[in-house]
Order: sequence, then structure tokens, then C-alpha cells
Amino acid sequence: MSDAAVTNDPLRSPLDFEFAGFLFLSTLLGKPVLDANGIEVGLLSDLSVSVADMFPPVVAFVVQRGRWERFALTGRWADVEDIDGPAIRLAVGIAALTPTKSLAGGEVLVKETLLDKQIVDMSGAKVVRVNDLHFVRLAKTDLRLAHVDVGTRGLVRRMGWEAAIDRMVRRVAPQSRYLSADQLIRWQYVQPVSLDERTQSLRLSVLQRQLSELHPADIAEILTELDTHERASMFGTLDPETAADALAEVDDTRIQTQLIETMPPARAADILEEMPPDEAADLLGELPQEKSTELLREMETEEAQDVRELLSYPPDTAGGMMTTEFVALPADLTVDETFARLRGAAPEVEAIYYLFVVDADERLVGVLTLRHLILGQPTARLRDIMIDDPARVHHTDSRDTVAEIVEKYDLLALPVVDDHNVLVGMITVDDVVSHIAKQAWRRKLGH
Amino acid sequence: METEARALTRWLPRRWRPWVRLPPRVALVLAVVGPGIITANVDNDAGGITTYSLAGAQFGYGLLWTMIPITVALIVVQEMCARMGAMTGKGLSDLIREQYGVKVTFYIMAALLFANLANTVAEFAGVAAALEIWGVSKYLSIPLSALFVWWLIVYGTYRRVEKVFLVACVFYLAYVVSGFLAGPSWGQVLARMVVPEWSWRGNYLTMLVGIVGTTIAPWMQFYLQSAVVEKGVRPADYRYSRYDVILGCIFTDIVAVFIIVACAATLHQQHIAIESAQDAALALAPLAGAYCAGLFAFGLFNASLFSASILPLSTAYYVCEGMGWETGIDKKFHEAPQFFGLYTALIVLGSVFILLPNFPLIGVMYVSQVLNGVLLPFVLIFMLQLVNRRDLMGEHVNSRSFNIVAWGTTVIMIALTVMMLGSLLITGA
Repeated sequence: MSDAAVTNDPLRSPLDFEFAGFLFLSTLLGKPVLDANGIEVGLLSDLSVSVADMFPPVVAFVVQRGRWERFALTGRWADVEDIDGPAIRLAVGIAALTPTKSLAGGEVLVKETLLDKQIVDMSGAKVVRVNDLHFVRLAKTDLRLAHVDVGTRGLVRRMGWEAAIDRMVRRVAPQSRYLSADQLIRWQYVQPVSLDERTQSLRLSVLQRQLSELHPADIAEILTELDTHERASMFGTLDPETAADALAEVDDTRIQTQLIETMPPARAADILEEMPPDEAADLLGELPQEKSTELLREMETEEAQDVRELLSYPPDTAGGMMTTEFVALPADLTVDETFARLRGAAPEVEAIYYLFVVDADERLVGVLTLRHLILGQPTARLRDIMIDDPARVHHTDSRDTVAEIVEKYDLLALPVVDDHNVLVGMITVDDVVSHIAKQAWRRKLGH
Repeated sequence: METEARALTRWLPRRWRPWVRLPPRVALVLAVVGPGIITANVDNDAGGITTYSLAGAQFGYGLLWTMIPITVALIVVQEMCARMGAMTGKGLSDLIREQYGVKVTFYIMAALLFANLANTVAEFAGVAAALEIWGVSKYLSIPLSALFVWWLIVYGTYRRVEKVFLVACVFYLAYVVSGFLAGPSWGQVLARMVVPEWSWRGNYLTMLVGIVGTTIAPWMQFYLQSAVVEKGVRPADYRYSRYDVILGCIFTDIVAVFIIVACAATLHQQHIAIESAQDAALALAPLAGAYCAGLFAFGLFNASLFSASILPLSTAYYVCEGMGWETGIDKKFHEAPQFFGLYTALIVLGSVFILLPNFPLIGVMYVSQVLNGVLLPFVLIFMLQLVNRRDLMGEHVNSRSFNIVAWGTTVIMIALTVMMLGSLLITGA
């Protein structure tokens, strides 16, 4: 049965060529289990693997006994003698089995926790359902969990139709991808979402690294696809910085606020501090008053101050769209001094491609881009190379006005000023893009 | 959930919002309203309206008393689904797949798929019938409504579509108005609603079973639970979701009462026999006036189009979820081929079948009812097992007394369904 499953995977072990190969969980489950005397103990109902290993070895098995009153027996996998026949034979008597479903620490029952459940495929950055589990066989009974099968063929195998469908497909379309491409995901890239906390933490060191290597937008996508509980538990495993980036990428405000609301306040505050103040303000603006006040109190004073200020602007105005993180420089600075200052201050700031020049009263007098700086003489003063009287918006201007100006002048960032021309914030193009896109879409549909 | 409640004040500048707030309880109820009301209303689809019209025309007020027990049964079943959705955050097909494995899921989904295809055909037939009353050819109305359904989903987000659906629910009031216009004697109506009566006549029993059978369809449980999950209802907000379910069930059955009353006060009084909801609308005109008949036809159109919008999408969703295929209308076709394939096939087949000359509509409806009937016991029993699992539901498993009511309801439902199947198989064979 498992012959069809043998593929040319690089994981193929050279250890024991007689037995080396692959085996699917579905071909083992339900087989009768015979003890050393050939007496039937019951039917194989689950295997447990030790997840602390890179390739988790099968360490125990569970047998379902009794037709009407079912109960479970657990045995050590080391006591298994043969798995190739129509029945699984043990080297010990039935007395060697524990009459419950018992697990040692770090062990996971694969059927109970993985089969038919959702997992996160870290390599493809999406949520999928497990149809079968794929073991690599290193010796006669040495099985290691290698892949999870999420493909159609796994589904067909579970239905018990693999042989028939394979024959049919071979006849109709021998080149079909169905036959050649099993959709297997390596165990290292699998993040189970339903493990308990203790077991989860055993896998965490590996996963943390992989998770933070994913693009925040991918993490956001995964979070969106998960169920409510799983979403919260996965979000909980991210470090505050990754969490903040991912949260900012989640499109659905409802999911964003739900994630923040379910976090312990201290952690939620940490995450909010990591976010750009405008994003944090948007998010806090959606929360109930008591909750946002509580979180603002938990946050570091400085960050909270920025956010509080932004929260006082109506969301559909330039003030509501802007961030208070921007670089403002005095006009008499030289290019060299500017570079020095940027190196000191910029890591904190979201966008440094646009720099604003202000007078002593913080009134906007000009803007310059990194390009101006790079091309400028090291000793040139900013007032000589900047663009005087740049495009700007008042903080009460509407979103449409902002979009119009950004579009018209092809700006990457737009300064926002108050009644006295004092620079209060900056709107970056990414905050405007979604708005422009929506308008373009509307025009296209003729509204 | 408070979040959505806050959306109600989103048009205000942020600094004013705290001052203009709805009472929190009201806001929370408003925020979770939707899934329960919509699901219950879809229950009054083309098939439901036909059944109630026939019941009213044939037996007058004789079956009104069933509406109160039916409402209770509907609430009991729907409440469990909504609760499972809120507590587990998973749809019913997800839970069945995770707890009972591939095989069971596959067969349930296959049966559901076929039954829902037949239901979709029936909904489009309802659209065609309603518009034919106003002289619109089905060769115009069917392609247009199929296109509308497709457009609504592909260009809308779930939340926007849900608002359209809630508006459609309001249009069901057309039946309430037409009930009033039919001029029944209200004293009699109220009395017959609370005093049960019984007859051993064969066609009375068949109609009784039909009314019960049209009330709780298997696919509704899947739809409701997914909608509750989609809405993001959390355990803490669940008690408000319960109001949504109860409100929806009561509203739906009030509409049903008015349909029965409208037909009873007119068609039954004059001994006019009808065979469909379209007949009812046509026959109402001379008896109760053009407005009454017009509203009746409009109600049928609204209900059919509404259900035709929900059925294909929800079917594609839960079949794909159960089988572990990618879902989501925001995906591209090649990312979720099964999902879009199923969705498109259901709409295209559902509308094309109606346009085929000599299409055996009655035969398809018959098979769909049989399939629904066969599925229902499985779905109800799975639900009762799942809702009592502590590892899934925590402390929110059924209480002992609720379990007695729920199992009682289930047993009665199953018994009636088996009776319906029996009568269908006897009369249909």
C-alpha cells in the first residue's frame, strides 16, 4: 500500500536499505494489534511522537480495545516487532501495556492533535488542513515524522480510494500532477495550532525563528485565516516587535482590536509602543474608551503622549491620517551635520526619505529628500538646497484633499500643519494608497 | 464586539464619540445581530412559503397551533449552533471533520452539496415564478438574478453583504401587511394559535410533517455556525448572540403565521385550491385586492432571491472548510479553485436547469427533500454530541435540563422527518 508513497525525497535515509522508505499514518491506523502470543489486543488508534527531536520518532502507540465499551491501552513503540503484515505484532504480552491513554512529557498524539486539524504551513505562509501524516522509515520499526500531507491525494487515500483513483488517473491522464506532486509539507515548517502550552514551548525555539523570518504581511494573512482561539494563541507566541509589524498589516479592524483586547494589558501596551503612532492611534480609536485609556496608561509616557495627540484628530482628516514621527531640521544645518543627526535619530523614525525644514518656531519652511542631501555639497546649508514653500495640508483637510495632493505632486510624504503653519505631522504615501486605490476602483465601476 | 458597537458612532469625530454612546447593552446586541435573524429568515424561502400557503389554503387556521412548538424547536436547535460557533470559533463542518474524520465529512458534504443544488434550483424557480406574475419572462429574470447574486458576493465583503441580507429580512414584512389586507378574524386566529387540534386524515398529517420538515433544514445549522464565527462572536458576547437567534426564530415564524393567515382568510374561505405560491399570489388578487396579491408576490421574489444569494456561497464555504480546501471570496481563482468552482457551478447549474425546457423541477425538489430528511438526523445527533463535549465547549456544554429538551426535540424532529420520508417515498414512487 505504501509503495505508491515512495518518492525521491532527499530525506531518504541510507541507513537501512531494506526498510528505508516512507509510510503514511493512514495505512497503519485501524490495523489489528497482536501481542507476543498472537492474541488480538485491539485496533491501532493513534501514535505518539516525541516533538523535541528534529525528526520526531514514534515512541508509543495507542490501541482501542473493546467493541461496545471502548477503552484505550498505551504501549511503547520499542515493543513493536513488525508493522508490515496485515496486523501489527508486538514482542510483549498484553500485560506490558498501560491500560489508559498515557503520554510522557514532550510527546504528542499525532492523530488526536494533527490529523484532520488545521496547521500553519510556514513555507507557504498559509493555514491548511492535514489529510495524512508521512513517516520516514529508518529501520524495520524506526519511524520518524517527516511530512504532513495536505493534498487531494491524501484525501483520496483516507477515503480508501487511492488504488482505484490512481488507476483511473493513470489511464486518463498519465502526466497528471495528481500522480507526481504530493502536497507534502516538511515537519520543520509545520506549526500545529492546537498543541497545549507545554508541548508548544518545546517547539517554540525553532518556530520563533521561522516566524520572525516571515514577512509581517504573511503573518497577518495567517492570523486572519485562523480560528479565533488559535489566532490569539499564535499571536501570543510572537515577540512584541514582530507582533506589532504583523498587527499593522492585518486589514480587518475587527481582528486587530480583538487581538489587542485579548492580550494581557502590559503586553498589548508593549506591542502598541512598537507600532508607528498613527497605526497605534487608529487601533486605539477603535477600542472601547475604558480599554484604550487603560492601555495608554500602561504605555511608556512618551509614546502614549504621541498617540494621545493623534487620537484627538477626527479619523477622516489629515490629522487622523498622519504620524507624529518625522524628521524636522533647522534651516542653517549643513549637509554633513544633517547626516550625523539622521544617524542618531532616524532608527526611531518610520520614513526618512522626506525631511522637513522648520524655523525656530517649528513653522514649516521647506522640505528636502535624501536625494537632495546625497547630491548636495557637504558644507551646503539646508536652506540653499531645500524646496521652498512645499505642498502641505492643514490637519483639518479631508482624506480626498490629501489623496489629491499626494497624487498630483507624486509625493512619498506630505507635511501636515496647523493654523500657524507649525509642522504637526506627516502623512506617508502608504497611508494614502489604499484610499487612492479605492477611488480608482470606484471610477472604474462608474460610480 | 464592543468594537462593532463602536462602529455605530464612527461618523463622529473621535473626541466626541465617548459622549454619544448607545447604552452598552443595546450597542452590544446591535453588534452581534445578524447571523440568527438571517438564518431564520432564509428558512422562509421559496419552499417554505409554498408550504405555508398550501397549509393555509387547504386547512385554514387548522395548522396555526404548530407554529409555537415549531418556534421552540427552532430556537433550541439554532441556539446550540450559535453557541458552538461562539465557544469553539469553528464552523460545524470544521468540527465534524476534526472530530469524526474524513469519511463521515465527505459523505455529509456530498449529500449536502446535492441537496443544496436542488434547493438553489428551487430558489431560482421561486424568482422566476414571482416575476412571471408581473409578466417578466424567466429567460430575462433568471440570468439577471444569477448575475446579481454573483456580483453581490464577488464585489461585496461579507459584512456589507450581511447588511443587504438584513434589509431583505425587513422586506418579509410584506407578508405581514398582506396578512392584514386579507382581513382575517383576529380573535379566531389567536384562539387557533394556542389551541392544538388533531386530525388523523392522511393529507393533514402530510402537511403537518411538511411544515415541520421545512423548518429545520440541515444546511441552516452549518450556515448559522459559520456566520457566528465569521462575525467574530466571542464567548463573552455570546449571551447577546442568543437574543439574535431567539429574535430571528420568532420573527420568522410570525411571518409564517401571516402567510398562513393570508391564505386561510381568503383562499380557504372560498375553497380555492392552489398548487404553488405563485397560484396563491394570483388567486389573492380578486379576493383581497391587488395590493395584497402584489405584496405576496413581492415577498416570494424577495425570499427566493435572498436564499439564492446565500445558498451557493454558504455551501461552497462549508464544503471547502470540511474538506480542507482554500476558501474566501477575496482569493484568486487559482488559489481557491474548488471554492470558486463549487460556487460558480451552483449558481450556473441552479439557473440553467430552470431554463431547460421539460426540466423535472418537481423531481429535483423531491430528491432534495429526501436528502435533507436523510441528513437531518445525522447532523442533529452530531451537533448534540459535539455541544456536550467538555473539551470543546468547556462549561458551556448543555445543562441537563437543556439536554432533555434538545434530545426530545431531536427525537421528535427525526420521527417526523422519517414520517415525511415515508410519505414522500410512498407518494413519490
